[in-house]
Amino acid sequence: MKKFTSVILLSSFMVGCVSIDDLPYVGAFDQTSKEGKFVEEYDFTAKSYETGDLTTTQDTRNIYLNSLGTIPDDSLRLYAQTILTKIVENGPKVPLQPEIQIGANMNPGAITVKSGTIFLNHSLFDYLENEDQIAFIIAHEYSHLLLQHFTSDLFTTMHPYLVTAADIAVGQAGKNPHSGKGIRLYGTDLMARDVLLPFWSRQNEAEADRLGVDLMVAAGYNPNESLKALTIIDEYEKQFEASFEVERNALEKEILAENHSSKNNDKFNLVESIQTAFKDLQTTVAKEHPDAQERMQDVFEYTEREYSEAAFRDLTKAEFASVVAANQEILDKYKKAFEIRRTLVSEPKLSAAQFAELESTARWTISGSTQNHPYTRQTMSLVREYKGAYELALKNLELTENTDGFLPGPMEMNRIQWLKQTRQNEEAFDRTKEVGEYYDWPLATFREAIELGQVLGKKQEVTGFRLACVAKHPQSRDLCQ
Amino acid sequence: MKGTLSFWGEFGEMLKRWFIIAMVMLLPFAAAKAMAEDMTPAVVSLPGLNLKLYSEASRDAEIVDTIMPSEFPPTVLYIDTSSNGMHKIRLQNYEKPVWVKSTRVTLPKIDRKVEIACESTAVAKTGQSGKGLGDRSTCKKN
Repeated sequence: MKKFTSVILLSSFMVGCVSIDDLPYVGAFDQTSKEGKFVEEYDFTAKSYETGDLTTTQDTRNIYLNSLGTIPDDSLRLYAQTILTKIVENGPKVPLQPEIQIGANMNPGAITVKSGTIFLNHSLFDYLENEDQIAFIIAHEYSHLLLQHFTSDLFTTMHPYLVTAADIAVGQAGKNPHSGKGIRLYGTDLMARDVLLPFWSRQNEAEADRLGVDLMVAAGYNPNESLKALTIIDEYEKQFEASFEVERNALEKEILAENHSSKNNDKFNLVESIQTAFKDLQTTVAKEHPDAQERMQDVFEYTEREYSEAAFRDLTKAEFASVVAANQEILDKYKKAFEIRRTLVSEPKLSAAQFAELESTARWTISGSTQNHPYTRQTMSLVREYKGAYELALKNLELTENTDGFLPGPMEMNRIQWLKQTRQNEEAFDRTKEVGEYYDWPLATFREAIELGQVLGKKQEVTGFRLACVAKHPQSRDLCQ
Repeated sequence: MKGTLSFWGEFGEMLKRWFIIAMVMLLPFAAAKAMAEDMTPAVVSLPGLNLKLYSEASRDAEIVDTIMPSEFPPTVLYIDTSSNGMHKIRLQNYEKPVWVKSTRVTLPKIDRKVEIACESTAVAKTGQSGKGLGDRSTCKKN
């Protein structure tokens, strides 16, 4: 239990304590405050756009490992791709061919991976109002690619810890569906957001904002909408954060309670070392990361200064509205699925009538066009798990659209837990090995393989997994036992 | 009879004059009341930066005035929104309506009333707009 506590504690620092809005403003930096258009000042030829051995498959698989999946329907993706293409064609000539995927997450955000895929969270189509706004988000993400913002030491250092936290927590939460509110946070939109959230420094964000504005203007959009997009995202991000506040507070209490009972036995002193590491992290974040208001002000001043005429361009509303309307059913079902997931986390004891209503709504989310979507199917499977109907929960996973035969990481971890619940340990063991292989052996798969191997008496394989686990996750070696 | 008619005629004339005077005097109050009923809350973003008031919604527009957000009234009379996302509003102390960028001045009640043009086959259901939690949009058929 102490190992689990350490990891959860680590997560709580990330999700609960590093509040960007509370951080002090430490003044503008010199690099991006000078006059002139960023796109004209920057030397793109000096950048190497080689990704080395990294393939798109590997890169996107890392996202799927920690995400809640993508939307299999192509309509939103193709629309966003046309906007991206317009931005790329009118931007600097570089050897990049970025692609769009629409990730399932109610948090209004986006992630870009080095090999060139931009993941837009589906909720952006709920919250944003026109094509100009989403063009800014896409242009901003593409700017991170253009400027090769992928070497943040802080994020690189922090990421393995967070992934470790997610790995363990997802697996642990699946073992006990009636565990505390905080622990049940894992596998939620919040957890997926936190683990996948990239960390950009103040300078990186300001550069991507300015270049994003340049690119959206070059593609014919109204740069004023960049400010509106940032305002809307800030507003809904705050709502999203607030909606999980109770569970976060519960998580802190659960951690403290568990930590109190296990600290004396923590021979690796992992808890304290993590606490120290995250204090350092918070200090660095406070110095480096911009808050929303600061970004908005910078974007507004830049637009006023450099694009006073383009700021009067007509907005591109009709096509955006048409695409959103055409996908309204999907967006509505995802919104309902999110509400169901929230209810399952926050309400450990639903009345029969409440559960019946929830189940009925969950059925609706897997009807028609969303019947095989990972986000909606996982929701239905969690409803089944809530009542201990593990066979039915597994059935829902089988009906989900997969990639190469695999589901997003949290769903595969659920599958392994539910196979164990239904006494299919051999199947669980085999699946754990397949999932481990596919996702390049995250820590949670090693832990499951070791545990299941012990139960099944596979001593030799268990020894092999322990050694491989320590070699691959040296920072978490005590969790490989 | 003639004298009586004349009395009533003069009295009628007098009443008519008083009525007109009363109407003229009450008109500003009535207009103010009507205006107050149409007033909508306004929120200015970036409180530390000046806000420009424009004469029209085009790049040739004159800047009528530049004010601090703290000087901006909490409610305004909304008139229209242009295709480039500017709001036409009436402010007290300004003879003519002014235009402001909707990125700076948000009118929560107006901005959320989303009217979209869409395909006849893709009519959004009322109450399931997706335009933010709890908001509604309507789908106008072309």
